[in-house]
Amino acid sequence: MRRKSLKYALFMQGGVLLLLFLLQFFLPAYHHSSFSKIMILASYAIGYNFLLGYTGLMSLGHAMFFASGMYSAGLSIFYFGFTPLEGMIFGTLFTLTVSLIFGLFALRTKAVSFLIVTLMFGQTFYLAILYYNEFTYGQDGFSLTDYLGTLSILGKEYLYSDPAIRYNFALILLASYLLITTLIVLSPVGRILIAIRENEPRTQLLGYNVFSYKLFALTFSGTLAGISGAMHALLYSYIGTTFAEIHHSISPLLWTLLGGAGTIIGPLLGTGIMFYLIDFISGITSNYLLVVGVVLVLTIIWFPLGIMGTIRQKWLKWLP
Amino acid sequence: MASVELLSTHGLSRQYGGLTAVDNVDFNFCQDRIQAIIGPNGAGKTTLVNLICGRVPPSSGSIIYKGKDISKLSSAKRVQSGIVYTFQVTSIFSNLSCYENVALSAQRSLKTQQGKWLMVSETVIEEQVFESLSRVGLQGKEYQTAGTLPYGHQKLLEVAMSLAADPELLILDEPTQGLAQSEIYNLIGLVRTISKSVNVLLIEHNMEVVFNLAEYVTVMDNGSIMTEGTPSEIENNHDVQVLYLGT
Amino acid sequence: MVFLALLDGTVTAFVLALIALGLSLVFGVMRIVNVAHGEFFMLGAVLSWFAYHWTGDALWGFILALLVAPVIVGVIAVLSERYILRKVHYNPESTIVATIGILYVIQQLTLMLFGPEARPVEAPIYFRVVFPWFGYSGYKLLVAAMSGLCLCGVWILMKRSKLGLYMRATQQDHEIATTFGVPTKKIYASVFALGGGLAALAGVLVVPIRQADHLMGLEPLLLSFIVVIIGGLGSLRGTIIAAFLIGISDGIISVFYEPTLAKMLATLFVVMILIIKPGGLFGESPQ
Repeated sequence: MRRKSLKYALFMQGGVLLLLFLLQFFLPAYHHSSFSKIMILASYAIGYNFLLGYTGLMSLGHAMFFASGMYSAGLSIFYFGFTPLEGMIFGTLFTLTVSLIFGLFALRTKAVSFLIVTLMFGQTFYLAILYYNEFTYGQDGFSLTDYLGTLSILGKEYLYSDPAIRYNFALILLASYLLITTLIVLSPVGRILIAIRENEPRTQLLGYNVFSYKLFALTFSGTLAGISGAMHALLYSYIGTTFAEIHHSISPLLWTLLGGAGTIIGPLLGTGIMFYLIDFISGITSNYLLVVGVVLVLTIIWFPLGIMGTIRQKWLKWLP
Repeated sequence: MASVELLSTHGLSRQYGGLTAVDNVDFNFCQDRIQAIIGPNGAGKTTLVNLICGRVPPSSGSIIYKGKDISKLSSAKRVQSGIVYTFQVTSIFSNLSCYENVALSAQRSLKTQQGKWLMVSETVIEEQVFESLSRVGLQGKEYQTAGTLPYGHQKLLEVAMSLAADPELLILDEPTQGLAQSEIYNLIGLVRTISKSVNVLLIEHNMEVVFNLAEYVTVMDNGSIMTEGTPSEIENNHDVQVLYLGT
Repeated sequence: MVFLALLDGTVTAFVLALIALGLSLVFGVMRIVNVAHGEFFMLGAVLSWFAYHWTGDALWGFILALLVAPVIVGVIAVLSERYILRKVHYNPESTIVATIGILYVIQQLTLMLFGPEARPVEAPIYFRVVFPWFGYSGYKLLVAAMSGLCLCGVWILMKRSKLGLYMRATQQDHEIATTFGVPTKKIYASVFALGGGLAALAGVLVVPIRQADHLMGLEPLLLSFIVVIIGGLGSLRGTIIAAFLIGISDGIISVFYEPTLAKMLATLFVVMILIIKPGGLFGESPQ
């Protein structure tokens, strides 16, 4: 069953990724850039889903991890003159540390308290960025354009913000997230995480140290979010507090729920749908958050399993 | 028949608020036999077992298992050392398949056997899962969602999970509760087979089952041990008759 | 200076207690967290502006808002309880998602009707209480007094009335309460409306001190979260004690540090508490 799941899932994801790869040669410029953005944001959502969908822990403060990766990569390039690669590595390690320490504290609480604690930590992180505005440039943010240099591929020089670079880097990020989460979810460790989601006390009584598995899931999920943030900083050369705001924590929750929590491909689908929905609404009114609210309510009432979750329940039992 | 002690409790007590559920209990479990604890509702059987498994911490007293004091260990650690508990009310992962349920248990015991950092291969897990499921007679149900099984089968699945955990001391808490008569006979046979390789501690209400299976019986009342002995001794004990029949 | 901070902190504490009490009641009885709670507070403030604007008089506007705003917000709360929360069966995580949705809907609709700018509301009474060495706004004292009155009212409601009895029974054990004939559905709706109404009332009281805008709900929401966590989820006594602890210390810390830093310190304080007692200071059991 598991091997079958793994084989099918890898085929399906391979198909989706191949399609995305080929699409870049046909998409008009506008959608080309939208797709790059969706892939980056979807990778963030995939990391979020690892925690929500596969471990059963709902976080309302994930923007903290995204922003932590984004700012630590960005600031280290800005101040210490790190190369983009060094910035990425630093951002990854920094976020790993942040999420590990956060987890050690936050996971002492459970259920509703955990949610509130994540929300509060997220908000504090945001306030801290504003508070140290001499260093972080507060609300305005800062640009990395003059600090990144160029990327040399096959003897040709490219900017990081070059559309083709953006698209393919985002695609590589997405592909590696899909692959690594699929492998973990279908491994013995994934089985334990799902068991914790389904029945935590029983998992403890099977002889597992539930706390350390939850800590792993949180740290892993946070680090994935951080890498997405760092990548975003490189590809868009901009670092700002909007990515630390509470809305940016709610977004991956919405994308994941809409696409289907606990399905590998769901967050990508959810992100894509919401991106285009908001894009469409923004043409009519500036109050696109109203739509976010309505979609949240409707999804949770009528589609609690999300799109892919419903499809799995009805047709594709093997879907991981 | 003074055989080797596997587990013993010394002055074990547990209070809930003002209520003493388990009161200064010295309980011994000896290797290689089926022992049973009986007693009326509220006698403290389940609390005693919960203390042994580490689901509740003791108010005072100690628990010695294989010569070591385990009263400070977490419930997870105790399972790893071989004390496996089978729930009174089934507590399976009802949204997952039977395979996954047993695999969760098997995976843990295989990892304990093979050392901490080795990743257990799925093939080995699979072998263990199929073996455990067929031992309880659930072969062919591997990919059914556990929650959709009939109640009797869920209890058997619970037993299969415990077997896959590679227990040294298997605690069965009211295994026959809620089962039909035919299922009970089936279960008695199963427990007897299991007891050939595993030490079984039985918590039961059903006297027929107890006298059929147990080689040594402990009677609890009001949080303490009332009397102990072989099934025939217990059957003829006047106090026990009073306790159960009210005569 | 410190005395002034202490006084300001006490006023904040009363209002905070009122808001957090609503959140705590809803959690205690229904076992759900209402993330839209801050929006109920915001609605109270915004409705108060409308009342002031419509009557054109500070005192009459205030009285009108005091009477009408909690009712309107209560109705909105009942509707969202009936048509949204009941539909997700009060599942804790689903309700959180649903109330986040409600938060956005209320906030954005307010933005559309009310506009993005902050609008002031005149205080219904204006006098200064003159202490020997400084003066203090009389209205702020009125706010504290009225909040205190409401707190007592809720306390009496919980301890003396049939509704309070039903609420406590439901809090103890929902299923047993149902079998004993407690109309739990109605209780849920009433509690949710009561919680919303209390927040709205706090909004009406606060708006003359600070202005009304559509984003003002987030800060009291986070503060109330801190309060209910420290106080122990669902414990009313703990909530009120924690509200005073937070309100007064916030007032004093704000004298020495910037408000942003004060908030960061408050969060760190919560973390310390959680490390020591994961269930909060007055929690019945670790959550």
